[in-house]
Amino acid sequence: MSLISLYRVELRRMFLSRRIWVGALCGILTPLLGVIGNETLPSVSSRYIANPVLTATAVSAMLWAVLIILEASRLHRSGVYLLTDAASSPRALSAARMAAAMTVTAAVSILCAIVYLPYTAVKMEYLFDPVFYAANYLIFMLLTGWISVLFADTFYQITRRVELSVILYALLAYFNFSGYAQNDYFMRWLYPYVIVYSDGFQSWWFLRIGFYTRLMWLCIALASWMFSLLCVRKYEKNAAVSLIRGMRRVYLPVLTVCFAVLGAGLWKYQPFIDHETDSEVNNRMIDTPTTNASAIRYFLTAEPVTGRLSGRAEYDLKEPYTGEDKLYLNPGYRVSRMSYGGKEIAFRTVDDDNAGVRSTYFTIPEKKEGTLVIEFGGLPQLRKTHAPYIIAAFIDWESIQLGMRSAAPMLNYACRDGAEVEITIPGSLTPYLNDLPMTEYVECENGMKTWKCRTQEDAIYNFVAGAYETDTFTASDTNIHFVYGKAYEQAVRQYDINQAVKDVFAYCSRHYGALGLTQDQTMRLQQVTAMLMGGHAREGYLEWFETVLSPITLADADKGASATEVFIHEMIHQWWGGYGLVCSEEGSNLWSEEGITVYATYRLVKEKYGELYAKQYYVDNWRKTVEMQERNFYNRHPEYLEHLPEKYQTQLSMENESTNWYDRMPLMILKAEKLVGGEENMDKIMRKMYADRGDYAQIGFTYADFLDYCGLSESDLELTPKDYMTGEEDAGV
Amino acid sequence: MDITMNHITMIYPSGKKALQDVSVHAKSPGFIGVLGPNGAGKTTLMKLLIAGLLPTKGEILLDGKPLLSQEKKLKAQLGYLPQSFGLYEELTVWQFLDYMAALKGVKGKAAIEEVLMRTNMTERKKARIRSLSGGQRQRVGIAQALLGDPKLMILDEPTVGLDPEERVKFRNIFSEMAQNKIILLSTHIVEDVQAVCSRVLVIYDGRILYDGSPSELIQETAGHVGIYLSADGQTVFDGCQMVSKVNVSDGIQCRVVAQELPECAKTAEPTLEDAYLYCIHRKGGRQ
Amino acid sequence: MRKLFYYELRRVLFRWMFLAMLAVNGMYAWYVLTTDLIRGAAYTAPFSIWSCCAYLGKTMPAASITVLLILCGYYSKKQKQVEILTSAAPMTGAQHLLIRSGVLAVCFILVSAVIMAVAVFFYSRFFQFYDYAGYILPGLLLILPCFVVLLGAGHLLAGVHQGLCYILIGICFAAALYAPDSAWDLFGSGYFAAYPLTLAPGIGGEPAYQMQTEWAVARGMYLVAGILLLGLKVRGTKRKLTMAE
Repeated sequence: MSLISLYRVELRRMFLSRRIWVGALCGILTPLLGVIGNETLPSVSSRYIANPVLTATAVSAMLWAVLIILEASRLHRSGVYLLTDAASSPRALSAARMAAAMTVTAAVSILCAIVYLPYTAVKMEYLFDPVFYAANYLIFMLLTGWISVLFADTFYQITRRVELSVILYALLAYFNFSGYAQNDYFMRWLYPYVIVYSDGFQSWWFLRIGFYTRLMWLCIALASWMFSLLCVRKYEKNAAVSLIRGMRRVYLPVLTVCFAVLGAGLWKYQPFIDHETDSEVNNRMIDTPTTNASAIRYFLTAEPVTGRLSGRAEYDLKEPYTGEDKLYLNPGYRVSRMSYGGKEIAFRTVDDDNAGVRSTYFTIPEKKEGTLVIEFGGLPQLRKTHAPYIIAAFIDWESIQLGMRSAAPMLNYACRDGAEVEITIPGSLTPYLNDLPMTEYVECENGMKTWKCRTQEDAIYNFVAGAYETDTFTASDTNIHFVYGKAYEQAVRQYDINQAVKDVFAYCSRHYGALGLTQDQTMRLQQVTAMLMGGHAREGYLEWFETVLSPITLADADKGASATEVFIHEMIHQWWGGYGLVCSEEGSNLWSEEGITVYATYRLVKEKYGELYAKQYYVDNWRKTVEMQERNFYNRHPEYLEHLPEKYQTQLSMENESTNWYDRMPLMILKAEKLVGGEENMDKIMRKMYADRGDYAQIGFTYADFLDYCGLSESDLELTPKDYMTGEEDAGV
Repeated sequence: MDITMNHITMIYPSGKKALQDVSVHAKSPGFIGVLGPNGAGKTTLMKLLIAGLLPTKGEILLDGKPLLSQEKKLKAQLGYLPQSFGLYEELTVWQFLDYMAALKGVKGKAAIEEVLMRTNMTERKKARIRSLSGGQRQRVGIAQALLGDPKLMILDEPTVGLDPEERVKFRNIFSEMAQNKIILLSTHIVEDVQAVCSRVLVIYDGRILYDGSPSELIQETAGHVGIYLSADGQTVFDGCQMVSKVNVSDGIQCRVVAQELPECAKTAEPTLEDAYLYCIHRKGGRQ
Repeated sequence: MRKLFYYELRRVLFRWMFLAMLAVNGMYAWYVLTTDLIRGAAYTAPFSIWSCCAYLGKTMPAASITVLLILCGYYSKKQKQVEILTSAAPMTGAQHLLIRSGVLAVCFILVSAVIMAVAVFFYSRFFQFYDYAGYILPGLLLILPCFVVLLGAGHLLAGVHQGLCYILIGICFAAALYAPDSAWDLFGSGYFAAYPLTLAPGIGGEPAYQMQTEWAVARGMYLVAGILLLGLKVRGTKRKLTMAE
């Protein structure tokens, strides 16, 4: 009897089994678990695709695992194996049963996708993408289901004990949820990791890495299952003897090893995240002498299907540095060729991933005028320490994000005239290079466009491309270019976001002074994908988080305007931050521009939404967070810190810093407000601070400076329990 | 079909010697009854023949070639009914037989209809297995063994749970089928062997005590079976093996087998049961 | 009766499976201590009563699963086949049930002892903490109702169908992953991580342990519920016997 015939027989038998039908029905219901109770998710795609699919993935995988163990054990518990073993090979029957089980799990996954499609399409309206939706079910639910049944059958075939198999499977499942795997894309075999799905800018990156990790685990699961197939009992021998006898079928151990090697290889050589060794390093400087280039040119192509960037960088040099030089490149890219003056030169790349770059060393042979050409390409990798939360470099059909180290090589070369850039991207996207729009382009084949421009900078610091709309309006004598994803046009109109922008400008200009910007008084506010988990700001430019405009966030009355408040907070940084008053103090984990910005946001919100609202969502939150910080045992008894694992020490340090910046300092500034005589006086002080910002541009405005402006001392602003304890608010702040 | 077991010894990992230097040759057609007490090694012998166990020593040949290298060929021609087995409770009789037919590569509904008819299960073919009585389950087991007209049938206590009428019926079925196949039937019920087997193997303590026709075994016992009257049935003579005790009007009639009968015993015509017990008593070392 | 208890206990304790489960409980307890409780529950000291109780609450699901697995074994097919013989003996089914419950109690005590021993070792090694006097009452109130409720529910459910007991095991597993902060949560780890935050910190900066009435009542009710469930099962066993007669 051939394997295919056995497979057909087993499949038919499974469809006659009531247990399998009940399991299938439960499997189809599992996405509902993800639909219920997911109000906290910030994007529509997360709520209606990610959550149901991921919940269904984990729950149905566990369900199928238990079912497969029970089905496998039934053969032996009922004694049917005495008949079936006499009619066919137990190993062949086991393989046929597994194939049938995988068919059933696949069928249920596909059925889930079909059943929930109308509901999802209706709920997501214009944001619904059926291909993306289907891919989620196929990649996550279907493949994870297969991995799960393979592992479950492995445990049963080796142990032949139901409870032991369930325990082993439970341990493997628990591993996925444990601290070791929690923030690791590759260890989360059962409940894949998705931070947030973008509504306006696509999230295929998650599906790419999701598919890769499923493939990796599928190889591992197949290897373990093939190994267990060798242990299928024959001649009433135990697992070990059956294994030894099973080795005679050479193809089985060979396949086991092949899958194991493939799985290990996929894990070790994964192309998504670098292998950073020192998370403390945040910036790497090239310590070779600066070389002047007479011209710099970049030619880049972003391939949306593979997510790869390929490029060529050209540097015209009159007097090149002939010692050993180095360049930094995203660890995902490989330098394929280097030449100078038309002749190839040798180079070596070192696997020293840190701060998001990898070094390549080269030497220009002679001090002669020529052009250095660097050809490179690859899949941009994320920085390991940022990886779970910040997806800072990716190429997709509807969104491209290439940060400072991900678009082109970094060398210690300077060019007065900036750089010429040519980049080919999908035709539907609007590109922004170094925070400025690119305007010139040429149509290419395959629906791509090649954009050209000359930058003022000699390097590519930031490249963003997306399907954008731009609203242009004036706010307090400032020209605002409000750039947002096309998908959000409806939300922008419905919730009058433009007015929110105008409110911020009006408030801050009135209370602190007009914003100092470029000569033509222009400010660009650019929406970026939610996968970035934040944005950066510079003079005349601000990136803001996508989910601020999520229909869910904006429609949620309880949250009030909290999403808009995040937006407002970022805009206020233009006054209190790198391009306004630079607040910094070396060695301090308390003072930064965040404290003043949070306070200023509170004041604006208070004016806009009322005192009660501001107290509830700001002051009370600050007090609660500071109270928790004070309560923390290790803060009270730092002598015990050495007993805390290093990972938690770091975590505590980061938590303390965040609390100090975002809660403690605003509370202290609020206390200062009371001590200086009220809001009006505080506004006067802050207006003076902002007016004097030029004096602090180089040295930084410190906490001591702030106290000087307020005429207060450190002890005046030290928080006492009355200031932060719940129930003490009338006595305290 | 030709099966040969050469000097087979089977020792389980626990150390128990289930079979000791057993040699058997069977050729089709042939209907072999295997008799022996509990723990004699009958089931072990059966399992070795279906490649369910590996012998510790010796070899088993199928048509002149090692059995283990022809497992697929063996299973394609095998009908096996173990002593205790399970069925898929949620399936109907028809569905289960259909499943087993598919496993064996037997195509067509006709084959299933035939075995249902032979086992008198046609009326119950749509019943769920969980609703069947013990005897009906046994009939389903026999039916699946009959599927595909196998060349080799190994039946371990096949008539357990069947009423006397059914036992006779199945004996006849097996007897008909033996015309072109090898059937090995292991049983405690001596009448099953007597009625249909052309050859009997007596196994005791892992050894074959007798291999030959039932009539010859009976002939060997002639003169060694005796009957005597006992007042209370408790009188046991040295060297005698009690076969049966029957209450009669003037006491208890005791039937014994012995190498030398007691003087008070009258010689009786031996039956196969007598012969079997005498064989074990004499050759099995029970005396 | 004592002999029966001895043999029933022997059947369970002298299996490598039980020893393996003890080891797994010990390793899991250590994992919980070094990755979770070392940070302290609700910002209190890792060795505060709050943290200790949160620790017990986190490890109780694993201990409960161990006991339930053994309980499931009493309702397996093989066991039922043996009961065909044992039910013909003069000892009643109810007595047998109580003996087995006693065995399960011993197993639970052993597992809990391992969990507590791991904690004692951890606290003495890292924090040189040895004073457990005030921990006994809240600890007992936490673990006893867990055991009694699951014992009663397990017996009742497994008596209907062995598979239902596995569902109970699944619920315990889910409880290890998700712990609500209600006083009515059976295992209580979420409660002990949340309730102290509602209390004002005392001398030393953290709230002194105080037993919330609602929590004590909840534990009492769980205990009573568990006893009732067990009683129902005993009664059901007696009724089966009567019907059979």
